Amino acid sequence: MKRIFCHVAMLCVLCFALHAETKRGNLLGTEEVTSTSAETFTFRLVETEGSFPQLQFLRQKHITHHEVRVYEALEETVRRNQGTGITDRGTVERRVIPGKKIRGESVRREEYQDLGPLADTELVFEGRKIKTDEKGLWLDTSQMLLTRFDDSRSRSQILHASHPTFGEQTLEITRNFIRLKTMPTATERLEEKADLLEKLSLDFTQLKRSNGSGVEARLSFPDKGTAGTAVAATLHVRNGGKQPVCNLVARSFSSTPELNGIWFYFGNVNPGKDGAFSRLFTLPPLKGEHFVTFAFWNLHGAMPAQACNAKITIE
Amino acid sequence: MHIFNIGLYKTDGTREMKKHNIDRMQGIVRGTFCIACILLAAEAFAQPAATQEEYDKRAKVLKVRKKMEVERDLALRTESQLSSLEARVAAVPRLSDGDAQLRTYLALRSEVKEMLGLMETTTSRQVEILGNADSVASAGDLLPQTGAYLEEIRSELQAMGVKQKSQRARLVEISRVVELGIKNVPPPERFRNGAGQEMRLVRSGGQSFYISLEPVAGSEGMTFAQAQALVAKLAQREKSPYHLPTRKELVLLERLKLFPSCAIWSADQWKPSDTEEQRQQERFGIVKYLVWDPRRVLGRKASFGELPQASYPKLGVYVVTSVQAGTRIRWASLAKEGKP
Repeated sequence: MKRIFCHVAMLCVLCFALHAETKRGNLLGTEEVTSTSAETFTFRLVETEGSFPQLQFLRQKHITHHEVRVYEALEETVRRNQGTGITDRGTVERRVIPGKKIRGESVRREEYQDLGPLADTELVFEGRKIKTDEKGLWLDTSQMLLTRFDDSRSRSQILHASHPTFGEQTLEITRNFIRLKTMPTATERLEEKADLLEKLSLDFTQLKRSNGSGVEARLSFPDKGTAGTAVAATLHVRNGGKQPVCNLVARSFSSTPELNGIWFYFGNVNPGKDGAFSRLFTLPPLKGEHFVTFAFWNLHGAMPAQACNAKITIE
Repeated sequence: MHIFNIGLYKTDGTREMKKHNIDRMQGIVRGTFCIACILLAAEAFAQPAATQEEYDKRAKVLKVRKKMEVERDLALRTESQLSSLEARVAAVPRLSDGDAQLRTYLALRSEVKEMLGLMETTTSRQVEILGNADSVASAGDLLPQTGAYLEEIRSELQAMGVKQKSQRARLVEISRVVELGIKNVPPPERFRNGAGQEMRLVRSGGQSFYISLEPVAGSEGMTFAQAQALVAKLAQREKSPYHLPTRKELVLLERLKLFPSCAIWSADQWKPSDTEEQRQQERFGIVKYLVWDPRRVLGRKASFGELPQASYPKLGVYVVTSVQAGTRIRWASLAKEGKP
């Protein structure tokens, strides 16, 4: 009886000493279980020159991959010290089991495939219907985007566009008056985020040397108009000085709310160069004369000498 | 002698008779009669031939007597004048018209001045009488009655002097009240300035001012700079500090519901309630001025900020000046009348 007990005990000890287990090793890759796809769109600000921002709408294929991660299978063997020279605590030996894989957690991967411009398509953008051209472009002729930033407290705006089939998309745009030279561009920062002034090809990078004294300004503004109609005001600037003028902007001031608080952007204007910016004004319903001042500002402060005064009669 | 004594007694008793002028006059007549009798008696019972010296003395005494009669009469008149003055001064504030008040005060002032001058001459005259009486008394060889009479004259003059002192004090008080009254005469409710603009008084506690009744300009419209230039020209012409109404003055006009017929420029800058708008105005160096349009003739808000170059047909100018300007005009018109 004693002998049997000793054999069993020795067998148990041997089994314990040479215990082996299968475990997950390195990630080998993923295996697609299933995938779904849907057609959608995206939009972005595109670089343009002038006073009217432009958006491009692109078709996209949105593919959702449902995958599972695949790992190599390891055989793990624990060895105890039996006077064979290994450490007191023993060792763990791992060995990849050839041909055997372990499937782990499932993951979801999304993929967007560009399918070219969303051409000649009607969309709802910021609550109003728009239609793209053959290149998927839409020119903001009403300066809706600029108007959103006429409230100077507004630094960024989230734009919404929707399509009955392709769903809804958003885009965050910013407006930075002053940009440091070291500051990454909006595009570099985040692809989806775009700076409006940057996309209007205006340079608002802060310059070390600048001077606004040589700036000459001229205004084109009608002196008559009909209530409720839109008229354009264009400010022309020319830097007749010897140094660039930095971060040049202008703003309208009037006691008539419709003519007050409209911003004009010029950015940096080098010596001998000129710039122009136009804004649309919806004329007020109140008939009679209305007065507006277009005042300028650059990095050095206000420029009262360059201010342009105008009077418009609403008929 | 008895009669003389009675007469003297009666004469001495004039203090009691002050209240009863008729009695007093009777006393004077009696006294005069007695003196005349004395002098006649003295002449009759005198030494056979009165010397030239005695005649001179008599003449002097008679002169003193006559002068005293005049003084008594004057003293009575002064007292009644003084009482009348006091009554008139007290009545002035009850006059509703400021101009009438001022005219009355000015008349009273000149009367007071005149009376004070008269009082000075009266005093010197009385001193002279006293000197005459003394010189007669000091000459000696007087009848005892004459000496007593002169003594009475002296004491009467002294009493008159005391009374004059109190009358002078009353006059000084009247003069003080008159001067105070002149200062406190309310400014004229309206006046027309040299440019022909009618100015209306706006009164409220410590803050009173004149504002033009009609827009000074405005039928064609006027920019802020033009309005300021107009006000400066007016101030120079009128030699008074004219200005466009300030915000405080407009608040008062609104409270009193004194609304102008058109929108008007204010002298004060306009600060928007929106802090961001205010920040942008400062940033771009823009200054807007307050326009007050309670009747909303411009079709905008009752008060708003307007650019200085704005000029609307119904945006006019009302001018404001100080209370002193109205007072000055009043004094000038009184000067034309020859009052001050």
